[in-house]
Amino acid sequence: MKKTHIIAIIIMALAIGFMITSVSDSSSYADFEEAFDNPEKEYHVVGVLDKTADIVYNPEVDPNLTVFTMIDNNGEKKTVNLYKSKPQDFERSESVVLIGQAHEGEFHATEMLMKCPSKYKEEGKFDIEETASR
Amino acid sequence: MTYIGEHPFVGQLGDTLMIVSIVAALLAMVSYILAHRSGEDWYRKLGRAAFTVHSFALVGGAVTLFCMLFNQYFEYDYVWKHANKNMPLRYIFSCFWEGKEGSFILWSFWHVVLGNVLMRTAKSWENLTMVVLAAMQVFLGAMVLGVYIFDLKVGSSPFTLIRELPENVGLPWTTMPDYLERIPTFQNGRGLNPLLQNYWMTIHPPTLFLGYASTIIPFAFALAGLWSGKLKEWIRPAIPWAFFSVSVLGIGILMGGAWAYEALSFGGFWAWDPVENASLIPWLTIVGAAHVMVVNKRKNKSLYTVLFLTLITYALVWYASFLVHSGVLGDTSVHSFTGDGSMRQHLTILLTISVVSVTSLLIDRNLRLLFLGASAFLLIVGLATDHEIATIVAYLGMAIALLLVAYKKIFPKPDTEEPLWSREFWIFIGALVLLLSGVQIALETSKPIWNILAEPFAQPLMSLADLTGIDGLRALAEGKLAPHSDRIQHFNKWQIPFAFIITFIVGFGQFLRYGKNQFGAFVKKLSLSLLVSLAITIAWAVKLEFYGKEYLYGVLLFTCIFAVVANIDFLIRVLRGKWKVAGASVAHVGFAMVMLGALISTGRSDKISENGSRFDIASLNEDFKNNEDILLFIEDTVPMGPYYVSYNGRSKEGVNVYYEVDYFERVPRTYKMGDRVISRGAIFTANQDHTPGPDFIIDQAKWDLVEDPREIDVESLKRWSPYKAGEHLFTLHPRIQLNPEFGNVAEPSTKRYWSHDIYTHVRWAELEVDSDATGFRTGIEVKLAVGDTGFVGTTMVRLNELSLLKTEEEREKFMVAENDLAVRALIGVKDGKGNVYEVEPLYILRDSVLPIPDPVIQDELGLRFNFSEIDPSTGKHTFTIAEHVSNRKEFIVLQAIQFPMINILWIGCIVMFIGTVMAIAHRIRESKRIASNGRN
Repeated sequence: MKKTHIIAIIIMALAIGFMITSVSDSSSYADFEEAFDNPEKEYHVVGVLDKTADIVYNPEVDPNLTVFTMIDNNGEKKTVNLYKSKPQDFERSESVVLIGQAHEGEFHATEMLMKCPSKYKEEGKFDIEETASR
Repeated sequence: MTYIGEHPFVGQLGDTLMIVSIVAALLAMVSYILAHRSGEDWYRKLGRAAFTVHSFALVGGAVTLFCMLFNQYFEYDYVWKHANKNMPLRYIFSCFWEGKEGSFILWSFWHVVLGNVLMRTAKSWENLTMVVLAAMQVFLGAMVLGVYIFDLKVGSSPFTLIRELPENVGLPWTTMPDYLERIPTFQNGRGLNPLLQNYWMTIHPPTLFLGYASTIIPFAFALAGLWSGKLKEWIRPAIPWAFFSVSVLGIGILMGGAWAYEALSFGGFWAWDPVENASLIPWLTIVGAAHVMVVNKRKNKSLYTVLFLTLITYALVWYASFLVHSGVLGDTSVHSFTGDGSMRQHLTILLTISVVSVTSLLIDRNLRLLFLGASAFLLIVGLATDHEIATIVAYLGMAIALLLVAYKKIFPKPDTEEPLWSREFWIFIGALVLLLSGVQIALETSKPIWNILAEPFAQPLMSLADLTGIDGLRALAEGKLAPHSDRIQHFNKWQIPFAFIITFIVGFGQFLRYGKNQFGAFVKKLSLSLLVSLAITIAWAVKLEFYGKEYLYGVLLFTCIFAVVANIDFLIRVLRGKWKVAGASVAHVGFAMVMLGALISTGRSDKISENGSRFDIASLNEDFKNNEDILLFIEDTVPMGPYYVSYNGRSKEGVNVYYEVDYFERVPRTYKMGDRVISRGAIFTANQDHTPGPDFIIDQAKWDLVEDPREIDVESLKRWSPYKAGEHLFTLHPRIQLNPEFGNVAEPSTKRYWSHDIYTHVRWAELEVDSDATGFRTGIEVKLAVGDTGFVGTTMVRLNELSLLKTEEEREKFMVAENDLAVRALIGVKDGKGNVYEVEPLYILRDSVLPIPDPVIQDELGLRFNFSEIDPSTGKHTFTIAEHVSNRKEFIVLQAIQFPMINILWIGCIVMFIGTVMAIAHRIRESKRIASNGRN
């Protein structure tokens, strides 16, 4: 019976290992306030693109830098440096999730998830007003 | 009132057929239950008849939906959303299953196909297995029912007219008899998402759904076994079905990978995206289940594991559907699924599956009653109070606890110690590792669910967080736990060791007999494979640099190669080419090749475009050095990785814009005396003919610094490089698909060599130049006080002077009207080459109120100046400066990735598929032989 016990112990240890690393290795969702209170710490920040502000993408200068303004869920605006090329249809995005950290008054994102209306799913409802005016 | 041009009959037919199919499935279920209870053949016949009616009705419903799409009846919501006139006809199937309703009908359709096979082949197992299948058809049918039971909406029907949608009912246009003609929207549908207009979308979903659907059959057999008390006999007929699921689901998942690789710009075939993970987890458990089934048939071992893995596979299939459709993944997936209102129904199905599975698996009557009673109590508490989540957690905890009790009580372990070196032991270990691998993926993918489940325990979790100082716990307590920031690396960290164990077992497993093996003899049999694979591994590991810090890759490389070699060895030396029984070995070779190809192609994928940035961001962390994309001006040839590339322009075909990118060989070059280059931001002239060394510093003596670069046309100079472009190798055409409705989509283009792929896609391109009729772009506003300088691109502007036009002479020169107030700005302009110009835009105010635009165009620079505002209060005046489109050369931003050895992966897929088909055929032959022997 020893062998089964050893296996059981290994499995238990692994399962606990999963749980602990899964929790302790996690990033967490935050708003800008929290991210800027803890600079240099990695966060996921959810918000929307500020469409009134400029999206600066100068590929001639740097094809891997896009600078824009995001409004988080509390309405706070921050300048964001995204170290990627400007995503297709960025202007159309409905909400964005930034993965990165705050540094000297600006947010620096290495990764961004973007949601476009009806890009992957049938979210766009049939709207007679909108479609008729097209 | 009749509506002109509407086809209401089709929709009514569709809805009626769906209702008939559900009623018939319900009847089939009840009949089969009665047939099992009474043992009377009459009920069984009724059950069969009902299932046949159900089959016809469901297939009829599917055909109806297909006809609606084919004939483009845009008055139907589903047709309008998923089809349109401009779309090629070959994508009509993709339209069918693009939406939730269509995909559920597809799923249900496969159940019908499989159910009809099962009904004819299951023999004594027919009654109970068909009960499960018919019951599931009722649930699936309800998903596309679209009726209201009191206030609760059950399902959503694809046969609903747009004017009948709840949000449209009562709107004025719905009362117009000729609304279809009058409203232009109805002339054409929204159409298929361009991402899905791809042949993979025609074959990937049906294969994946066949895989999902097929898992119900082992599930039904397991339940039938538990209900009838034949705890073990169900396994033999279920084995071919289990391997069928392994094969089809596996191929379905890999097809998804192939689609992502070929058509989506995710930069690879597997990204550990939640949606991919959701389909992988049930595959891992069904692979475990199928293998332990084989063990159990031979050695009567691990029965509880067989039952558990089979049952949980089906629950996980529905969990996958739940994750995808309920919207809980929300912010964690690029697929960005939004909730589609089927959350409650999914929860109901999941709950039903879990209650039925756990109750059945408890076996002991008292335990079953205890579980059912407690579940019912929790359900009532959950529904009556607002502690829903707490009751779900309590339910899960109770189910796990009771399953452990049942395991101890009903499945006593044999007293004898199992031999360590036996096939059954290592298959069991393999199944456990697969399960653990699945659990790890499931836990990580389900982070959003953790947040939900942790909600009632926020207080204790917070205290625990304060106690242990783990930030993650605090995030969990606040419901803000997010996925790991570097998802791929995190998954690889965990999954590589699992893959290592699995491939190693796959390698040596076949060499072990059932029962006790002599360790020495076993190692002797393996020694050839071990030595051969070690030699290959060393050669490859050196070439691929899989050592040092990346030793884990090296170790996995060894086990993968070992698994391939050992199974081929087994085929040759042990089976001696007896192909009839070789299915398992062939499938294992294929599986190991998939792992090998995945390891090398992702472990050594190389972003060869990674050198484009000229901007120093080293002031930040190393993490932000993310220069993965390269900028290509039209007709420039620039070095990129081991190639030279040039962008030659674009062409438009239909909705696609193709970008022509040429790849050239990189060859060594020589410099002649007098050649000029740029290096380290300065200009140099060669003082002798020479062949450059690997670095500029080494050659420094052969170059003279150009002190005064003013006379030189800087833009025509090239960077120093020891290489130049050689022979043209190939041309790629990555494209951007234009779609105003869904947004534009980039699709990669890939050059395939036997040893590696070069995958190229356009990351950014200026699709429409926003210029006015005169060819100028939208201007940039520059605010300048006198003496200030500003920049427009590389051009420097300086406001030298402001003056009011006073004299008659001046006013005449600038043709200013009598009542105009005119201010002249004197602007000095210096372009990138150092040329200096002067422009004099005017600010004209007519009748003291109306500013008159007076643009000044500087032709040499291609710039247009507009003096747009005077602000005496700050002294900063606004100039709008616009560039002519011809000023800037067209360019694209490109990403190119080299994937080495990815073909091993694709070949492995095919080999694995062939192997599983062979194994299934063998099992079916064996079953038939046993059955016919039994009869004789």
